[in-house]
Amino acid sequence: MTDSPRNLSDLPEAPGRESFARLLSALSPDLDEAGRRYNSLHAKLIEFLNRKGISDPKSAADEVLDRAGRRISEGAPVPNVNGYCIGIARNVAREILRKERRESSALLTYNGDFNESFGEEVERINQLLKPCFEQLTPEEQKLLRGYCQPLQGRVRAEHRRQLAEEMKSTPKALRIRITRLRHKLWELVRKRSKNA
Amino acid sequence: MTDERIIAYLLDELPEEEAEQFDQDCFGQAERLEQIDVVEGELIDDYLRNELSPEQRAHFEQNYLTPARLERVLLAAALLRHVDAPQEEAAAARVTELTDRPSKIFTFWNSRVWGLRAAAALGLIVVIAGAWWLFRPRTPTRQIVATLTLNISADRSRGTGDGLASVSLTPDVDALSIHLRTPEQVPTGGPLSRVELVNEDQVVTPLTIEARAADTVTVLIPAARLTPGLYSLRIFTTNAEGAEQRVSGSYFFVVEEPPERRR
Repeated sequence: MTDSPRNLSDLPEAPGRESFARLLSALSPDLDEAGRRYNSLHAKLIEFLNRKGISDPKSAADEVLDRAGRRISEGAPVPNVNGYCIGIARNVAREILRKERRESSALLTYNGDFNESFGEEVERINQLLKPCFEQLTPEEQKLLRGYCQPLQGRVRAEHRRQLAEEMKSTPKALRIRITRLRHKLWELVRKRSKNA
Repeated sequence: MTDERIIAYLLDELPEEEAEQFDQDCFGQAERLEQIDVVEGELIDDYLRNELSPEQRAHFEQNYLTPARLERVLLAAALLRHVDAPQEEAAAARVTELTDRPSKIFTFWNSRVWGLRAAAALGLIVVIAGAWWLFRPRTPTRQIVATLTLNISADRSRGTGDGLASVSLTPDVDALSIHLRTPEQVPTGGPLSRVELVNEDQVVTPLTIEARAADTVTVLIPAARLTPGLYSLRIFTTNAEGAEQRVSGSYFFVVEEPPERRR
């Protein structure tokens, strides 16, 4: 995150400086505090739009704040800036996703058979993943293998409960740990893919 | 915030007002966002494992999948492929106890020449001893597990008892691990809802599916449950509409008296 601006002239790349200034004023009368809240809001919007499945959440967040600033400067009453921005973000997400889906040949041609449509790509990623998997600790590897077993229903629930017990953990904590491990693995794969 | 509600949110199944409220409740809330992340990962796995209902599956493809999320789904698919691969290799390697030439065994059991099968299988005793490390807390304990691999047979074949695999469980054996080779009508890696063990008295015991590879499913039966006699295993799968149906045929095997008792 950027440092809080001290003066309006310190504000970074603000297309429509007036609307930007109005947005900051709506966040707080104190410019330092407004800057902190702006940065925080921007980060939360990026996270929110990332969750929505937007390809470029940062640009989308910029768009949201730009629209919010414009509407505020046009006189729209905004008692709660965060809540107002969430509403705009939902609409921006909808617009962008509609466009992305229309332009994605992968999704347009997908017929529901995942292996048929993406089998080669999965195998390519699998080849990148293998050495990355070996970079995990033995315990982490064992945990992922155990958790991702092809089991179903009650059998799977019981298996995972036993896994949590063996790891001296709870099923809830185990789920979180697995999710974090997956992200760790994805980062390794992405880095390897960039260097390949 | 339940898993079901999060799934409904991700699949865009919540009414508009509820979805708005959901967004407001989770905005900037790190713990809730992590909870969504957890459920999302498991939703993707369920999709890839074909475990979503038809309606959820349709919503996943229509509402959840975006170009950005497709990357995450591909990564998840690669991980599942990697995790499944060692099990498939191990299942193929395990059928070596009857002979040193496993390829001949596959050919033999798949043959329709009853005379050959009966002659070779009659009186055949499979004595298997193996060590198998299982997951255990703190101090891993060692189980002695016998293994058996079976192919499905038509029900009429059980009449005479000929052509059946048999196993003798010595007292030190803790459990019998059976690898069932799934027949052609079961899609490769497709979901199996359950496996049942049936004894001579037609008592049915549900079994836990220990592992599922591309063309095998593995169950583990405590030796204490296997008194000498004839057993069959039957498997059930779910069709495209989500209805359960039994796969035609059964897997037969005989548990024989241990050698010490037969003297």
